[in-house]
Amino acid sequence: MSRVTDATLDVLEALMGPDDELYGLKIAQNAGRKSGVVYPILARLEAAGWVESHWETEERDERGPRRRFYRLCPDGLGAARALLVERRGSLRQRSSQAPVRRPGPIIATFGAWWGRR
Amino acid sequence: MTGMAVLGWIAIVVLLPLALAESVELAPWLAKRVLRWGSRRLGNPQTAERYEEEWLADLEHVPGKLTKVGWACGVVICGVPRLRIQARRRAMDQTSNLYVLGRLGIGGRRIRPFMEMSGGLAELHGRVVELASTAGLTRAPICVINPNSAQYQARVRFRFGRRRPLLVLDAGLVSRYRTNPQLADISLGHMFAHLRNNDHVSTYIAVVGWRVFAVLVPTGFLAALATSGASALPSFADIMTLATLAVFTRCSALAAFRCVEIHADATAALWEKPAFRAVDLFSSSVSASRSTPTIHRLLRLGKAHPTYQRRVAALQNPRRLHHAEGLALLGIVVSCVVALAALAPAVGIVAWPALPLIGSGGRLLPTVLTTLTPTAVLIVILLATCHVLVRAASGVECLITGHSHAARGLVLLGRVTWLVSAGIGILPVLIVLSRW
Repeated sequence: MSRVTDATLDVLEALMGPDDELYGLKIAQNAGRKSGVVYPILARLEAAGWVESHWETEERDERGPRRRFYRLCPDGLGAARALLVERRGSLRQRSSQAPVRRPGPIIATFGAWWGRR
Repeated sequence: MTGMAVLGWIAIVVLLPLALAESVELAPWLAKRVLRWGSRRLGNPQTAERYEEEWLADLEHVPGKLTKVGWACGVVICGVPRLRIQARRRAMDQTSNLYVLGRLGIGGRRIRPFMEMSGGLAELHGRVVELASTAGLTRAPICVINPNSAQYQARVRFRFGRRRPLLVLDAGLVSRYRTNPQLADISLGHMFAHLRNNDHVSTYIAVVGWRVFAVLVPTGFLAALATSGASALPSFADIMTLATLAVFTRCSALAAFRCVEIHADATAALWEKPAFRAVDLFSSSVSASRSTPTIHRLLRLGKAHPTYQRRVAALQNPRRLHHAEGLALLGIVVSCVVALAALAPAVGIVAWPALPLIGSGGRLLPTVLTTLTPTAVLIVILLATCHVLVRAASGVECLITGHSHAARGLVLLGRVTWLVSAGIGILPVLIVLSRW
């Protein structure tokens, strides 16, 4: 990996979650990043051999577009774990649910002020 | 109630909710259209088909209707340009990056793709890609073989407006690769160090600055002489000023180039890759393992060099090359300043006239130029003097080019010098503009 950004680390953390069926939108939600940022990162990780993807195979009631699931390769898993430990010091386990968004600085300041009243 | 009021009432009560309802219903359709358009922008049909299906499937899981449009626009605006860049880079990496120079040279675009050539160069092609990866370059440079040159050199050529520079390899170097790959590896490593240091850009600017200076100043001088006759002949002091300026601009540019060379050697040595360690060439182990006549000849030549031990010692501990001799440099600079300040009134430097063409016909910038030019000349003289003194003080030699050089402090000094030189090179352009 020639360029590792914070968004890449977030995506890697999201891919290391417990969920097996991770598709682009879900990864973006788990990583807390925009989908438009996540898809190129996934493509880059896939080109680097860290991530593999496959089409949704289960039979669906109505014929429609298939989702594409992503998961870390065995080699990519080790490399991602080492990279996250190196960059962030420890692994933060992300749940499969969408993370609770932290309030912005203005809202947080207002909340703290309101709480002190 | 007037007619306009009725129409406004109808618009608010009937048409606006209708439009909102329709837009909400149309939003998913519009989102799909946006995604399809964005996926088509990816270029490759297979990639477009894949992302279209993937994005449309993900779109179904986006809650709401209007939010689907926002999500689709976000994917297209943020994701598609990045995916396009990635695809373009991947395509460039997969294509051939080794070419053979034709009769008309690079400018004539007579370069033929390497893949069309005979297979003897395939090993070199693979080696260039491998060494570029080892050197940490994200992409291998485009290599061009010059069949008309039997020398053993490689040059990096900057192309204005192109992101990938050209690496021009002489045919002699290619043949050397067949007989002695390690020598060619060292040359390639040196060139890749130039690329890592972005030397090709600075060298290009320095060359352009010098050429502008070398072409425009004499041309303008001769034009003024031809139009005004003997009455416009500058004084001896003016001519000497011009000559001094030319000599020092050229000398400082050459010194800067030499700084770049030793910096590239030092960078290649710091990679700790055996292929780039020029010192390995002179070690007994390498010469024993590769007992070719070329190695032995080079070994004898290298050991016969008066500064052989110092060169080997410097390259065995390459971090020394990056250790700027700060105190020595500071002392030299201070002593030069003091010497110039003391000698300036005696030799008339303070009363130096400007360039012959500046004071005579300038309209827009005459005062600025007449003030700047002597100052810039003084700076260049000072820096070039520093170059000479520091080189004499620490002389580490570049193994590839044979030029004598010093440490990183000198490299930085060289870059400052050519920046000033380039500034002086631009002065004639300003002169011409001011005369117009």
